[in-house]
Amino acid sequence: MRLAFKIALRFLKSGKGQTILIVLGISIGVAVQLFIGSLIQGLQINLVNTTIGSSSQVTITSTSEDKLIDNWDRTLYEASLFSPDVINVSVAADGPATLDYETDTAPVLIRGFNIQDSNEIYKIQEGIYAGRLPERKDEVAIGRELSLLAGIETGDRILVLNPGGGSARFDVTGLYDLGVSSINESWIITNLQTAQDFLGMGDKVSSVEMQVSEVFEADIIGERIVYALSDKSLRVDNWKDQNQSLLSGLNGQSVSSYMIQVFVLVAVLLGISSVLAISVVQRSKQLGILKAMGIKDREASLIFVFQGLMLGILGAIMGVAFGFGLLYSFTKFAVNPDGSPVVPIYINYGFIALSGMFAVASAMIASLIPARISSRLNPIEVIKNG
Amino acid sequence: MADIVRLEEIDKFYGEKIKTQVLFDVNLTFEENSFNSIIGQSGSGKSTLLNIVGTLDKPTNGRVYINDRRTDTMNPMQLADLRNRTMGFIFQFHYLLPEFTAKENVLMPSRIMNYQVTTEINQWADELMDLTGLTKVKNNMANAMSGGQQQRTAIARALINKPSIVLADEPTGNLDSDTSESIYGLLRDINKEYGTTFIIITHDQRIAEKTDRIVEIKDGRINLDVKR
Repeated sequence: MRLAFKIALRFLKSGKGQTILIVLGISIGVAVQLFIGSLIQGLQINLVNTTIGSSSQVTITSTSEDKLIDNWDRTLYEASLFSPDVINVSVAADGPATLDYETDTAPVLIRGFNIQDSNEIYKIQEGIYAGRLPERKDEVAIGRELSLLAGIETGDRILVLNPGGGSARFDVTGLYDLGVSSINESWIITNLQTAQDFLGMGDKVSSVEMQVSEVFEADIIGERIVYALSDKSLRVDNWKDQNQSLLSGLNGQSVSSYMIQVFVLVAVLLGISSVLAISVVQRSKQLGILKAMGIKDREASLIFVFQGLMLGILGAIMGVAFGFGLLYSFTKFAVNPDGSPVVPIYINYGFIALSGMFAVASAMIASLIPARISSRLNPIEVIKNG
Repeated sequence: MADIVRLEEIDKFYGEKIKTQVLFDVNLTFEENSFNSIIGQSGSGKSTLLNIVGTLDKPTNGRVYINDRRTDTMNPMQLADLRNRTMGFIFQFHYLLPEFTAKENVLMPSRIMNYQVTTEINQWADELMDLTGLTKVKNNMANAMSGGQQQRTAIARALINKPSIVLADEPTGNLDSDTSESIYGLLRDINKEYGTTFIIITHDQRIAEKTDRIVEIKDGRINLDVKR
């Protein structure tokens, strides 16, 4: 075994040009794999974050006649039992209304939250660009688009009409921008009590919203929550059911990324295999005499397995370095006008390790063919042919 | 003296579809500590015979005994072990590993047997290289030596495991006559000093005449067997 290792090392050292070529081949393969993999992962995480990162991922609503959740403290508690899979649980009292401003009216959605809880989901505080979050009763925050449309500033009092014909006046304490114009132009964010009173809900809420730690498991977690809920009139929705086209897009992306990675690996594997197979032929004299001197067939094949292993390890290390180089230059040169990278790169060490291990494994698998040729080589063939 | 090599009723055919018989019912023995030569025209079957003795080739029919152990029925692992421990090979071409130095090449059969090189073996390697006049070039890479030096390295390599038999196929075929003379002198000395059995194929009549026994192979049969 140690002799096989020593011989393998010498063979690699003496054929430097060949060794460098194979290592380069493997490392480019690994680098491409790493780069594409990280890019796609970054792209997906970015996409998921912007799409559903600041919204409710699992939502409990009621199927009762008034569509309201009565005993919401209990529901809140039951959903919280799934911590840490479930994070940021919050209630919301929502209802349509009409904003009456100087010249016209606009349809709006009153959203009553326990502001601190909902802030975890919607990152409202981060979106406030003027004034502050509503705290007391009859205080509200409105979005950028709505404030521009209706010419509302912080400190203004607004008149809002509810579908039942009633009306109320609220103090605007803050203006927000949550990055989605449909939200910015329709949501009037207030505290739970204001919304409940205005919409005539009493002590009920319209939904319990939450986020999950693993966004792609939202459906599974949702199903588990269904079982835990004592009120069977409640229904549980998750973002995956509501965003099928986004999901299938993400899946398609993943699959094509895997395909590229697999083909890169196969190409690397074939490359190593053929170069090593040639090297068996090149070294057939040496192998012949080693066998005549009594080296065992197994040891003779190990020479090539070790070569594969060393090439794989070297290639993987260099490939990871190249890959990082590629990723780094990508984040430096493929940038938006504001200097931020087009796709924020997500470094997943597990993926990198896996990618490296795959390269080493491929190199070893590739070496099995030459190892077999070497094992079968009969010394007499070499000695007879001079 | 006891026979170290015994061939009984050896036939050898080559080819799958068209069979060519190279050896015909050969019965031959070699004594321990003897110094033998095999002569014959090219194509007579002498190399095949030597390869069968060396377990590199198998007879189609017949039995081969080395030290009274039958070898033609052994598996590749047993054969590898047998070759490593009891035989040294010297070929017309030296077949050194160019990736290694002269001394590393000499030590190779020993490393195949046991990776660790003991002080004793190391000294023995130095002694052999001294004997073969290679002390100055022992750290040269194998292909950075003259033809004669390379062949002498191959001889030292054949002897490192103190084999009981050395099989040589035209060991000086590529060398000039002076170098050939000195190499035969060397083999003879080793035969006397360590009692190693030598079986040497040669086409050089003068060299054959210096051996203890000359076996002539003609058309796959023993034509002449002279002991002195």
